[in-house]
Amino acid sequence: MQGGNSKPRLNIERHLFPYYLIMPALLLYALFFILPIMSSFLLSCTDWNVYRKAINFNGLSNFLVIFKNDQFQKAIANTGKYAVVTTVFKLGLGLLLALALNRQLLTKSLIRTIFYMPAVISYVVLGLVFSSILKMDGLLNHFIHSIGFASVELDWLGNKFTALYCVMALDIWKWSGLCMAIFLAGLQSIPSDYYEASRIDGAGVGQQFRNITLPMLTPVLGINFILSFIGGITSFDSVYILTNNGPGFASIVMSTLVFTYYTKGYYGVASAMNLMLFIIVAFISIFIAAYFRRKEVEL
Amino acid sequence: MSAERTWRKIRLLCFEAMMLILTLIVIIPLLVMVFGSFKNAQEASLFNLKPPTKWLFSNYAYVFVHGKLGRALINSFIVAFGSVGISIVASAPCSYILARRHTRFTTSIYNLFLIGLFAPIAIVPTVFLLKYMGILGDYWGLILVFSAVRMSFCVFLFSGFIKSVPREIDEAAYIDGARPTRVFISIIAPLLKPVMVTNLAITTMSVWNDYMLPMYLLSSPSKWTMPLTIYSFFGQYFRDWNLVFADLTITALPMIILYLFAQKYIVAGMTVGAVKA
Amino acid sequence: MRRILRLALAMAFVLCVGSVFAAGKTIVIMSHQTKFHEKVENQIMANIEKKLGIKIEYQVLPDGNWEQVFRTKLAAGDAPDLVIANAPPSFDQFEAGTFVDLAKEPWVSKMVNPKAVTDPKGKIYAQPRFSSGVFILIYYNKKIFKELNLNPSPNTYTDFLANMEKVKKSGKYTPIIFSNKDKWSTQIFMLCGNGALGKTRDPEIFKKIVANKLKWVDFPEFQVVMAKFKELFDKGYTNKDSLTTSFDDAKAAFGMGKAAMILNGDWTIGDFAAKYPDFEVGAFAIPFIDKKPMVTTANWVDGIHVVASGKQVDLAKKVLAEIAKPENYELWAADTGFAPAFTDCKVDKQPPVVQELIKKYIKTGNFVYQQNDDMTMINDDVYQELWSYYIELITGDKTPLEVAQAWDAKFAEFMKMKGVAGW
Repeated sequence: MQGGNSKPRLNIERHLFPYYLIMPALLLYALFFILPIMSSFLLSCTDWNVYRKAINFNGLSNFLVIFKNDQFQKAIANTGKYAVVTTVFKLGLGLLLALALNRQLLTKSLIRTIFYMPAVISYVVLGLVFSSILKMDGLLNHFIHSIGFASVELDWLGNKFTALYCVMALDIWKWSGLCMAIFLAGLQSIPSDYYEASRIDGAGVGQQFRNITLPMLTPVLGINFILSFIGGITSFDSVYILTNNGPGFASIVMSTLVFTYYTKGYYGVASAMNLMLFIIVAFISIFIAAYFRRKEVEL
Repeated sequence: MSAERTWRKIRLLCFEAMMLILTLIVIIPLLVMVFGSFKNAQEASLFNLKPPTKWLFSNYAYVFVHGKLGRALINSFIVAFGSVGISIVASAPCSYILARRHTRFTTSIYNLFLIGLFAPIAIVPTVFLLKYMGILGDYWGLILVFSAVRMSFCVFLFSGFIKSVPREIDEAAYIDGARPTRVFISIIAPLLKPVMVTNLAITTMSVWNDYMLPMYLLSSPSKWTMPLTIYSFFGQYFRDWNLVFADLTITALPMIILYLFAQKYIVAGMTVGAVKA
Repeated sequence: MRRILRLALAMAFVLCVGSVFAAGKTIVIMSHQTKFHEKVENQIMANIEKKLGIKIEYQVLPDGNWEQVFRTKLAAGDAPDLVIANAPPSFDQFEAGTFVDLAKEPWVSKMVNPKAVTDPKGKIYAQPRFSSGVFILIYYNKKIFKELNLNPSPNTYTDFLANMEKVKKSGKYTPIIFSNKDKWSTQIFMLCGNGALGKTRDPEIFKKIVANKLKWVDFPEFQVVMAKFKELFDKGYTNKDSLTTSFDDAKAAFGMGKAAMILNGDWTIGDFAAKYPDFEVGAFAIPFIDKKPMVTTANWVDGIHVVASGKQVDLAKKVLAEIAKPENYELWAADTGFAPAFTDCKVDKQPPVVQELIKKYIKTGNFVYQQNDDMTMINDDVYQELWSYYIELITGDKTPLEVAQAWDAKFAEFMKMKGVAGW
């Protein structure tokens, strides 16, 4: 790999790009982020809890506890549903909006600003606004009543069938604008001559989309997909603020299940579940990244 | 002007009108909040989209005082400045090295940083770590943890951008005898300005809007940041939705203002990021 | 641009440092929503701040997670100076040494009900905020009852349901309003029923469960009570949005005459005299056993505890002493309507309905202590799971048997974590 020829090059590199410039960032990151995560992995095999001072190793029994938990299956199912549905809608809506805004519109930047706005507002604020809209006497039910479907008026957040979907709706509403912005950036980097050339060759809009737009968008599609999907799997804020797993455990997801263990003070079990989540997320990220990298190479 | 061109223009305008109507989906919930914040308690609890009969600016004054928002605003500023300042100042040179120098070490460190983009934070060990260091409950504890947590994204964004800056520029400076730190500060950093603003804006928004870390790592209510105070405010004034809406609007405002100013750069930053993916 | 940044950074640094130094003596009190009575608490604290020349800060956390935040802070050595919790269950829920023994404080001798805050060894770990126990029954709107000709003192469970049916038929009011968003209130029906049916059959029943000599599934009355609870929802006697109605919302709806009945403790109507002066409130106990309705009471009071690991224990004790003084305590008693905790308090604004029910049920021996009193080592954070199972009962996700089974599993898990003998 390194022949005698590149030795002088290496020396220059060591001089030009010294390692010490990495240190501040690395030390901070390692100490305040990586170290707690590593120690939590170790602790996942202990009976560490808030009720007793002693900590003992108990092998993999924490993981057994998690598997036997009757909310575990529901959390996995909900998390899967959440990740898939929000990704499909965020990417779909984001792409449609980006395509729409890629034209010569007069109020283009105004529209773009409005759609991106929810992304900069805190979940705490949005959670309360949406709870007020989804109340029994809130705006949504007012609207449904006014168009004559009074019988469909529901307690949206208190209904075990609709609760999780309401949370997904909040998530989609908040982040579609970000998806759109990233897609827009990707669209704008496609040279217009490609479209010109294809038009001369007689290609229709649909063909242009399939053969030029979509392939050129693959990298941004990859970014959006990973952000969305992983964001969906690790979603916590939206569920916690809007339904707190309710009603009962109908809208519980993996991150909030971990949190219930923290709440009860079962730190060892919580760490174990955190480790599980970490592994799942790592696997999925690597898989998705590899898939999209392959797609890029194919082009 | 040919008929076809006019027809196309009309179609475009209709399309634009439709898009504007679509923006209502975003506007309506926010309108509920803003209108509600100016109503009196009774009108606000009707939860409709009618504009307030009287615009009660006094709601905002009341909420600012009783919700201790002045204090919360200052706290949010302190935490945001500290965290964002440290993240950016530390991650910029780090990304420079990671982007320029290609050794197995730098690749592993880069991957280590990427992990932070998705890995969930381990709250309880962090709390105990800060306690052990004696900075639990202080602004410093929160600032250092935030910096560490946001470091991944900052490094990711910066190194992506630096890769697009031609190496010849640095190498030219070295030939002139400059040392690495010098090269970085005088030559690379100015070039990073657009990404710097993007990074600043996005990191500030993440830190400002977060409520989990401040909830665990800040001790007394006098240090609470804005999102945290909403919880306790809502607990006391839940029945006066007009006041709650005012509280929510005030809390959302700073980041909206930041966004409106930094918009250009955020979009530019994404364009670069998209190309460099 | 860079100059502005530098200036701002400098400002932030100064503020940072300044606020740490300028803090001075500050006492932090941790409370949570249902225990916090904003107006009068702020009044009293303002008085004490002036008198002692210190600052007092209230941390008011949501009901659902205050205990967990408190525990985390405790474990990290960052606890508040004072905390408000139910005493004496708190003595068992936190490890020994968490709270300071207050037996030598000046206000101890003037307590009306010292037993409420004294542990078996004679140590006093909290200052009571009211004296008598807690009374859980159905509070009803006398005007609605008169209007619809309802039975204000049903003697059998069938009569109890008949009242609801009449209100439902009228279509004008909600028969009984529940606040299931605040899950601590969801358990109340079960507390009443389990006590009335279970504890009267076997007074030791809950102690047996705690000692692992009996399982929840083998406590048949539990499932009977749960079935009765679900029946109320299935028959349409409750508010349709009970799952997203908070306790404060329910209280307000009741006070404004939208619901006929509410099942909760006496603190619910404590401040009605001031808030809803035209409201006439009555009370009756749910007749789980025909012809023998019983009030459920509990062996706890709101208590202010001094945290032992706090850094200003003596100052905290001084604050407690000030709170107990008549000039402050009487404001509290007047605003909340609780039975006064101290003998020198000349204000007793206990609502007449409470005084009546004491005569009708307590003095005649028709009361039973809630099950939680026998299980004081279990804290709210663990109970949250049981209460969530109750919600699943309402939504149909679990049958009463399944709730008992699931709770047995979680109960065992907790007892083993805590290291309770016998598990």
